[in-house]
Amino acid sequence: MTSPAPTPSGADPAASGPADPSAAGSDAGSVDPSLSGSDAGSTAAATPAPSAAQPGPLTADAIEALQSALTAEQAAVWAYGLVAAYARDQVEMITEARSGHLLRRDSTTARLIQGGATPPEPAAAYDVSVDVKDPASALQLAMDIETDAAAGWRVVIGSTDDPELRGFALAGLSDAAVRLAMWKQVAGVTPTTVPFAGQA
Amino acid sequence: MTRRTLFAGVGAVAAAAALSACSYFGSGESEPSTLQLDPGALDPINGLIATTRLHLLRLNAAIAATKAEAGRLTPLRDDRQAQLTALEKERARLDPAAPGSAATSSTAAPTGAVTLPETPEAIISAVRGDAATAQVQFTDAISAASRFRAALYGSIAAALASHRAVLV
Repeated sequence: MTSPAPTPSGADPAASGPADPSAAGSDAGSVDPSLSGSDAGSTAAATPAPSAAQPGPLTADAIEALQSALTAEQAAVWAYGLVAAYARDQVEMITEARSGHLLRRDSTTARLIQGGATPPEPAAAYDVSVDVKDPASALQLAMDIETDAAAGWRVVIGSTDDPELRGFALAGLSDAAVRLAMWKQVAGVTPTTVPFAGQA
Repeated sequence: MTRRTLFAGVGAVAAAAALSACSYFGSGESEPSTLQLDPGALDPINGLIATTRLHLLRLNAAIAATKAEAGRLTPLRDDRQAQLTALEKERARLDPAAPGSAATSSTAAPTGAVTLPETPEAIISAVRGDAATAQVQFTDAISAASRFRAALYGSIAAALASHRAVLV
């Protein structure tokens, strides 16, 4: 991982880093990841709707990328508990963000099982390189969580030719990008957006 | 209007082929199509580049028209400029003759006149609408793209989602 987001305690952070999404791939069929017509005032409104296509079998590339993305989601669920302990003025945002990661974690686990792969087990605790001791450092951790989640989902998009899986990953990437912008707004960090979500 | 102009566009080759095979005009003789396939014109990235250039123009106009919102809009404009540069670079990678390649470098900020609503609120709403439109376009482009392009388009689509969020 390129940012100081949580990693399983004692584990090699690089082991869950995203693969290179620049590998050339073949063309794929169609998918309809249509978007909500409403403005993106919330994370959900910015998320592409689930694809109508049925999930297909997973390739080795896709499995590896999904496992990394799942690891980031598992870490996010754990780490938001730490954020909540120090950023007590942001209860609503934290609750919404954690719920989003929880849903994404579970759906990703199910997607891996459905594709015949083994999902990684969540760690009991995670190392965070941010020394969380006050609201400011808690907000920094929240931004790192979303940065890592976005990176994980971007890699999934670039690791598959399956339109359904690409749509699934784009939902995770969009959610993380919106949350990252929202946390930056709260923290007073500028610019609040990035041109390429999930890209280091 | 000639047959050529009638069918100019993405479906032109297929349409011309169908006409030729079915003798639509009743001559009973198939005639060679005068239409030539232009792979560059069929590349979906061209539409994405065109949309991004238009929205950049509108963002520049919006910044000029609403000084109070410049602080919020300028970073979004910078994002879109970076996206345009990346898209043109990607197009040039596969088509060196395309605009934006090293030989025809044209990645400068687009210029031109655009029309915007009069009130600041309506201008922000229009910019937000542009982001939503572009987000749909990039999302739709993901399914049939190569892996590299899919990751690029997805990354931009998600960034546009965040643009919409900060404009609420």
